Amino acid sequence: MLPFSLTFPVARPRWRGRFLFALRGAWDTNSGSTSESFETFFRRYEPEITRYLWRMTGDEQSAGDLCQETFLRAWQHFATIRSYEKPGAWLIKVASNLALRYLHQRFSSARIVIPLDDTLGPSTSDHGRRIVEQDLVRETLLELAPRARAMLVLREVHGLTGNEIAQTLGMPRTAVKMALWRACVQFREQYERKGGRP
Amino acid sequence: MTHPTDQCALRYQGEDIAAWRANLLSEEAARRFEAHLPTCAVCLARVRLFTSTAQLFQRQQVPDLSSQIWRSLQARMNVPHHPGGRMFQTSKGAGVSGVVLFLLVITVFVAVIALRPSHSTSITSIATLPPPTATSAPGVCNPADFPTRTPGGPPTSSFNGPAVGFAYPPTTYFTHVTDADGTYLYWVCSAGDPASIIAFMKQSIPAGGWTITATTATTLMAVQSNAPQEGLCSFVNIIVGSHSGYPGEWDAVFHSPTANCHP
Repeated sequence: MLPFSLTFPVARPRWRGRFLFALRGAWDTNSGSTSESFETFFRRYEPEITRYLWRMTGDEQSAGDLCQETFLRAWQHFATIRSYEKPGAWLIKVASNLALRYLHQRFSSARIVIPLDDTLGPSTSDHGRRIVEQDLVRETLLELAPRARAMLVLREVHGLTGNEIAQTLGMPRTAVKMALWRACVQFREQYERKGGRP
Repeated sequence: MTHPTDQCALRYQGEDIAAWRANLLSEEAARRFEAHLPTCAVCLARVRLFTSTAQLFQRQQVPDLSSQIWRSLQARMNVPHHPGGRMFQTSKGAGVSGVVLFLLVITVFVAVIALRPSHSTSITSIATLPPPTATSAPGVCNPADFPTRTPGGPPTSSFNGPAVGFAYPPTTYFTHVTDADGTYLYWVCSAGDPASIIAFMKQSIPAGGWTITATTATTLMAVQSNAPQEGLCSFVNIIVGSHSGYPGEWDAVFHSPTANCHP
């Protein structure tokens, strides 16, 4: 409950400070024209945030809710965020925090397993195979720990660098490379164990 | 057949490949690895492990939720009381409503002042505020917003510095709404109305060692230097009058100390 507890280290990374100052932009006021700009901003970044959250949560409803929450926060701080060189990084950071918290709260005691539909079993058609592959990828991804999942998706889908991943997920830069490798190996092992093609 | 778990002749590990792909190697180290890569079947297999995984992800068809999210978002942008607290108007229509409400408040305020006996002191003076005793009438606040009622105001003790806080209006209680990345939102309930609450805070915040950096009729922003030698500052935003129908309810947003007092 303490706003200024000792859990905050004195030597905070500078990017984190900037992020906090970004939050202070909530003080700025918005106007009608800002509302229009916000829609442009939303249209530009929403697909990427949705893609990320969909992979993180595995379902449309949760991804939509979390995406909405992410952009609501962006709206609250829009006057500041719009001036950022990389507002997408701010959005990814917020989306990651929301997704990790959501996954921790909802699924800490139960794994999300979305079983494959039996009717989609082995198929000889390319279309059928694609559907099976998609489900298998999604199912395997959801079996990874949320942080490992976030890391793999941020790197392999959104192309974040190791430094950016460290900043987004609040982890030491030195831990990223090992964690990325483990996440990738774990994903591939589970994917192939389930019958996914190497 | 070479497997990613085999041993590389130069002892490059899987995490080195991950570091290379994520731009975590120095330029020199990256150059050395890139010279080695075409000659090493093990490292190539590890790189393929990443690239084939990326291809799997990229082949996924992600649902298009844009319209649905935008519709819901618009609705929430225009709702006065979302969980994060309302901090500004969101549309022209809302702006007009805000102006009308503001004028109404000013009119009532002026009328109240005009009707007060001549010996009364200004409502903006802290000396006129009722002392924080149990006899003060409790604030009118939405009970649903206060599932927990912690007596007093949100904690203001400093981080890494002198424990200097500021006083809150009488009969104040609060609930912790949310926190994220060093930002803490509280809903607070105090005796009085938005005008008297903001007037109280305009007096008590400087008295607590904070510096007010911006104020409006309904908002107040203040900063406190917690560790000047390190340039750390804390910030607080106060927003009153944002919970319509509940004059005693207001928002306090604290931002934990950052490494730069002058963004």
